[in-house]
Amino acid sequence: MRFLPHLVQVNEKYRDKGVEIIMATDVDKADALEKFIAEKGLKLGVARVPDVYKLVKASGYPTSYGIDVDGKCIWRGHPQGLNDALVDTWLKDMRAPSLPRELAAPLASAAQNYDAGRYGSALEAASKLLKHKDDKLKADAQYVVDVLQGRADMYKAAAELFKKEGYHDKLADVLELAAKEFDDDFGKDCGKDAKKVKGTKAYKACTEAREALAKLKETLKGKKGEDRAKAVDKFKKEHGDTPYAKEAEELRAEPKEPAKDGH
Amino acid sequence: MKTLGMALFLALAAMPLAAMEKGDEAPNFKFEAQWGTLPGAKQLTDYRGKIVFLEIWKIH
Repeated sequence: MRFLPHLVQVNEKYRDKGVEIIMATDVDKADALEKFIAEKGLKLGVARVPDVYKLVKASGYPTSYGIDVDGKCIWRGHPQGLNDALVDTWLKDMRAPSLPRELAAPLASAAQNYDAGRYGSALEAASKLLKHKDDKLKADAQYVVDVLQGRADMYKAAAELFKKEGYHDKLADVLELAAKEFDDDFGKDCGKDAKKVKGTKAYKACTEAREALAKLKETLKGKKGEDRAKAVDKFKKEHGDTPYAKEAEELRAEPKEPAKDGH
Repeated sequence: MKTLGMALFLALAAMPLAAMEKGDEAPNFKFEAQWGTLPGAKQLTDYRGKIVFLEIWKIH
């Protein structure tokens, strides 16, 4: 599979942000699949699913799908079509999954806030009912708390990761997103942090580098050898203090011709 | 009998025959075996709340 390195890359970059890659196959010889995974040292989710082709009515291989937080298909295409820009679009619309059932009546206010995307208020309302003596109510409250706490933790993890990697632009984005959703102290802190980040030189440098990288990708289309190297070197000279320099470096080599069968 | 026949016909007509498209609910399927997936995940619905990139693949 020629797309493996590409998928592994996306997986590493986005797993902490709530995006999971599952490669599903219905190969019935488990030993063959295990051998393949071991040989390639796959660091992706791989699952054996009997009759998976029939289940999703795949019309050809490879076929891939984007599936949202509620299990709905949001994209179908060739795995080669998976790129950062696409995943970023998905993440932009990422919300908590719809509540799977009608919640016990005392949770009405939590549910209302949840559906309206005010996760801080929903979390607060549900937290108050965690020790209620009614078991169903308690379980419902726990469900809401788990989902929303998990979401807050995901934002925290993403912010940590961006900070560590030096993506100050994406750091500000994720903080603003958390601030928009969580109308509580956590959200307020995120909002303050986002403002701080946006006032830094590093933020400005990253924003400029991100735009420049998009342009570089356009420029490199159809370019070969030394021309590519020159453009990449120029980018690295101008944006070397941002993590985008590393991404530019990966563009130095010409992309391989797309495979006809993809595998 | 006629009612049953009609019900069956309607049930069949409602079944998606075309490939999964944008907007369709993904069929829930169970993992018979898995490697490197979410810890404890046994089926696709265990990924609710996450965005999933699902690739259907073959080993040649």
